[in-house]
Amino acid sequence: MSNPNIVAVTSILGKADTLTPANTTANVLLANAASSNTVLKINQIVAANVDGTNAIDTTVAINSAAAGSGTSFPICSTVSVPADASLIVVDKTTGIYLEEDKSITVQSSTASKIAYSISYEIISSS
Amino acid sequence: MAIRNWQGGFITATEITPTGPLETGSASGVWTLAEAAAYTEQGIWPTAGNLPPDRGIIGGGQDDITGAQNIIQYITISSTGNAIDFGDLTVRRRDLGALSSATRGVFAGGYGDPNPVNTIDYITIASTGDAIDFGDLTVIASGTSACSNSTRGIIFLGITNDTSNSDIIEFVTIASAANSTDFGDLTNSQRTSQGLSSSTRAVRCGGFSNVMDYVTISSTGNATDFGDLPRSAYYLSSGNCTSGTRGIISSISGASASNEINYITIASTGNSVDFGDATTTLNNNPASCSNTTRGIIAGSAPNSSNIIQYVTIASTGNAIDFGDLTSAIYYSSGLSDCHGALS
Repeated sequence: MSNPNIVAVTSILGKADTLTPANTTANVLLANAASSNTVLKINQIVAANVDGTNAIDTTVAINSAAAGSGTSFPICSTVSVPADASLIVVDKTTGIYLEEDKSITVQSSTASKIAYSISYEIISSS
Repeated sequence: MAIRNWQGGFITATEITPTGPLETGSASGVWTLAEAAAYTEQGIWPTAGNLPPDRGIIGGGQDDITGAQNIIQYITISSTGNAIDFGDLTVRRRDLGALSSATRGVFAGGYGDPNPVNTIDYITIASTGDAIDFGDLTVIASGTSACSNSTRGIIFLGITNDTSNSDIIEFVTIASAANSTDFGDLTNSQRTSQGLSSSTRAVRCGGFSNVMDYVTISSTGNATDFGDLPRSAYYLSSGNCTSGTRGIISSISGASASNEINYITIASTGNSVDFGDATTTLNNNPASCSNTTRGIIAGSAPNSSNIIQYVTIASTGNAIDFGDLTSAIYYSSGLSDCHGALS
């Protein structure tokens, strides 16, 4: 299925998710499944370093397939988040539409130390 | 991209400026990618993996098989790991002096095979490359000792022209490779003493007497009497083992090895004070270096040895085993990129 025409949508559902990766590999923060008949409008992604001492690197990427598959295209790549600080990776001024069969992955240089939060809208036409 | 400082202050009520770029730098607040990029460009964004200087260097020395060595090895002072091979000195030698800034280590004089030298060479501490020619001492000297602040190195020459102990002091500007220049004189002649410093004062400890004296590093004046060591000593540890406030003296030895460690308060002119004990007896110029909290003593335990041990400078506790040198040596010298005289 194709993405919905956003001037003729049937529903817009606000949603937020969180993830604190317990490893240092890429983890799926949000995936839009194939044939979902929805497009996801990403309003905000925040990476919060919960370590009180050390800066930790974060990488946030759009993947060309759902579930973290396909090719990874970083929005930010190994950007340091200082101790006890938060980095706004995406906000409303830099919003992203996440189409069907695409995903957003996050990766931290230290396990369990960066908490990611994502706020988005599920836009549906059926 | 202009920096909008209110972003960090938005949740802290106080404007925040990052204190990076070390990994432990502070920048609590909420930041945009644009702000992170701008502060990274300014070199103050706390960056993962950017660790503070923590490298100790042990250079030169002698082993029991092949004689004087050109080996350089390094340790991570805050660890307790084994030493790792660095590059080589330009000239094989033992009984050499060593001093350093935060980026450059300098080795001065020493006894090569078969003769003493006036060589000064330097290394870039953060690298693992070979030493490069720096310049020359004004005379051939071995049994040298040395210390420094962040800009000027002070060298106590020791035996000159392979004949007799000397009271000669010379200095180098660490960032500028050139011959050394005459300073004032020590209060008595010496060799194989230990040099310790704060950012302003350099102290010479022992070297065939119990005498300690000091100079003001930024001057070129004569030395002034400090307190005394507990007894006449030579072949002391070689290297600036200092927190900036307290200097650690080890291998207070000579005819016989000793496990005794003393400390001095560099800003005072008091006698050295008993510290804990080394894990072994020491003699024959162990290499010594430090960061601001931990002092290292390497080799010479009491003869050719691969033993490294450390003390917590602010304590008066006994030394504790560290890792091992890459080979057993003695008569080497130590320096670091993080000693207490650099601030």
